[in-house]
Amino acid sequence: MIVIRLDRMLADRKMQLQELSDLVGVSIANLSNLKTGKVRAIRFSTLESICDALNCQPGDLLEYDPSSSRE
Amino acid sequence: MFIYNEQRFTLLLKVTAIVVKLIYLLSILGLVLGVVGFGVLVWIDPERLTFVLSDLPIETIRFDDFIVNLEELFGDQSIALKTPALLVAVSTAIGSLVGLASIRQLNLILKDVRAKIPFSTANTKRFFTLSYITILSAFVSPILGSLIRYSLVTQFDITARLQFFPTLSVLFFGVLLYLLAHIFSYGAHLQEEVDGTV
Repeated sequence: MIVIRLDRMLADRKMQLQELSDLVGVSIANLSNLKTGKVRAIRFSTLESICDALNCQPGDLLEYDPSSSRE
Repeated sequence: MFIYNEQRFTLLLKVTAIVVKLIYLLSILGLVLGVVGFGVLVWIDPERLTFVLSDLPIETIRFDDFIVNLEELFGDQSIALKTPALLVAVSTAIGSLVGLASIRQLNLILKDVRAKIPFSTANTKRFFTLSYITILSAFVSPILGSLIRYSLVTQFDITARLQFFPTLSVLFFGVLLYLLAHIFSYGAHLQEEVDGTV
């Protein structure tokens, strides 16, 4: 399954979820769901905004883990 | 091309809510009449509900597509109405119960539509329930009607057979509701996808 590494990126950038929420215009609840892997999909526009705010590549946020699968 | 008009849709919802309330009241009335009628009829002596046809203040009756002259055809034969009346009471009560069950589902659907969450798993289930009720009614209603006619006709020297055929219009409506339930099922799936997308 695809694992979101948002928590790691936030820690690297020393950024809070609230700050990211203000920068990308996505609610904390949705970002929290994204961080904990509770979402089914992510829009390119959201991914672009997050990459822009964190100054990173999509590959830094997304990781494929073949050992686990989505329910 | 169909364009969604919220004002028109809200008006439609209001009108539907009024119609549903009217049907609900009629169903309650039908249920009370059916149950009370059955309770009263059971205790009535069958003789009191037996009438000599030539004594009735009517000369002709319409039976399906035929106009029957009572005296000409039946002379002074009598007709017992207790069994047919009991069947009518039972049919009314069953019809009203079916109506109430349908209205409950319809009310819950309307509530979700008003809350702007029409494509939910719960609504899909409700549409499936409505379609099953409607399809079943298309078969049960003619059977009850046929039983009532049979109980009347067999009292005379008429060879009658129990015949029933599903009401095609109701059956068609039930199938349409079944298709609609499948459309809602797909809609609910799409809604889940959208809700799970950030």
